[in-house]
Amino acid sequence: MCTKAHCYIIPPYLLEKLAKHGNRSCKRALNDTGRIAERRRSSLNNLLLRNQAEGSGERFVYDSQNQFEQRMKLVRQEGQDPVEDESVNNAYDTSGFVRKYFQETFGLNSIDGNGLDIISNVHYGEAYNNAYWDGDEMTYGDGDGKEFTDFASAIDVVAHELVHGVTQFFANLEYQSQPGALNEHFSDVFGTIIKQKYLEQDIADADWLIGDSVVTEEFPGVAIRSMKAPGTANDFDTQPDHMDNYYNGMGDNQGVHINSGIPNKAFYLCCLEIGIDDCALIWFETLKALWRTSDFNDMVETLVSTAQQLISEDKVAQNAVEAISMSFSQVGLTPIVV
Amino acid sequence: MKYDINIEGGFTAIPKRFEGEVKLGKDEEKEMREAVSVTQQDNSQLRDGFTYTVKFTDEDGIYESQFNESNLPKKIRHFITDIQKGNN
Repeated sequence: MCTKAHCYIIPPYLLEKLAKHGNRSCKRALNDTGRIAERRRSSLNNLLLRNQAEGSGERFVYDSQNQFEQRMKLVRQEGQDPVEDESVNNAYDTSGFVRKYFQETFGLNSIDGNGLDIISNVHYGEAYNNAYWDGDEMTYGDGDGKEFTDFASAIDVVAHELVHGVTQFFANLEYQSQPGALNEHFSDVFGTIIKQKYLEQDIADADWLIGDSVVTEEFPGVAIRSMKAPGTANDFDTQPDHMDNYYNGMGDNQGVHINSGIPNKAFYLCCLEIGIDDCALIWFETLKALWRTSDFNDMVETLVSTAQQLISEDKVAQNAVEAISMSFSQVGLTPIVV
Repeated sequence: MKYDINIEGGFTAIPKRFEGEVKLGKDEEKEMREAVSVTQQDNSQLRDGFTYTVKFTDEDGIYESQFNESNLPKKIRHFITDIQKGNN
């Protein structure tokens, strides 16, 4: 038997092979090993090695006051009344909605399952056109006002960034090449699911766009990405929707935001077949089963085995495996179903 | 001093490139060269952060380095912000 403690001395390539064969303790050890090594490098290791008490996922919103600094001024925390600054209130409300979705849907206590506090920084930098997750917290720019506007006020952006945290704690997918594209894919998947829940849409009403509310009228496009039609959201959108057009370049960490279009399209197609809630459950359970170096084929294989398990428990539609097979076949990733 | 700055990645993943030339004082040029030369600690858990490839060229040579959100020197950060605002 391979326990978490024993696996630390086993070489990562062996852990990976065991993880691919479904050994979940080895997968956990593989992910933990990578995460701990990274943490050591960033000098936070001592905090991680402690057995942390379960928290309650409280929200803290800081105002960066247009400086390139995080945690500058705490302006709102859990339970406090709204403030005058709408960016602060939006970051507070939307991160609360994401937390509630994961709690009510999957029983997840905050983004790490252990009640990690949810920390947001708004008004970061000057005319800063970005939002990011740094391993501990989210940071949002106001946008330059010409092409982009407040990133903290968009539910799909907030969900996307928070799900980078979920992915970090449950699969720790590397941020390059195919594992990186999967990392982006999961953030777009739950970004779009949570956006539809927030807007009380069904899949027929939804636009399947990511970041449509952070682009201005001057921006040459309607959004940052499209799950329904990758590559069409704006003039710069080069996302492929099929493996035939897979990006092999070195840019964007070997295309993490580019090749995510391929599984994104498959997710959209699968939702049309079995609905977004069944897909959400299958994708979430799959995320938990993946490991640091998982590639597209690993994910498809895991989606199929996860769906088979969930069908046997009567938790998803009986045609879920067929829906996954058909959806991924259409983007050039035909799974082998046994 | 000539500059060539590539910004990649980020949530939007829309690359930006800034090329040009600025007149800086000797001390400021030295500070910029030193900022590019210093090795910075990395944070590999960054997701959706920008990657900054910064290249300066002056009469003495070419100075190039790559940074991310967690290790971009303040001096370079403010230089890029000024360029974006059209101040340089």
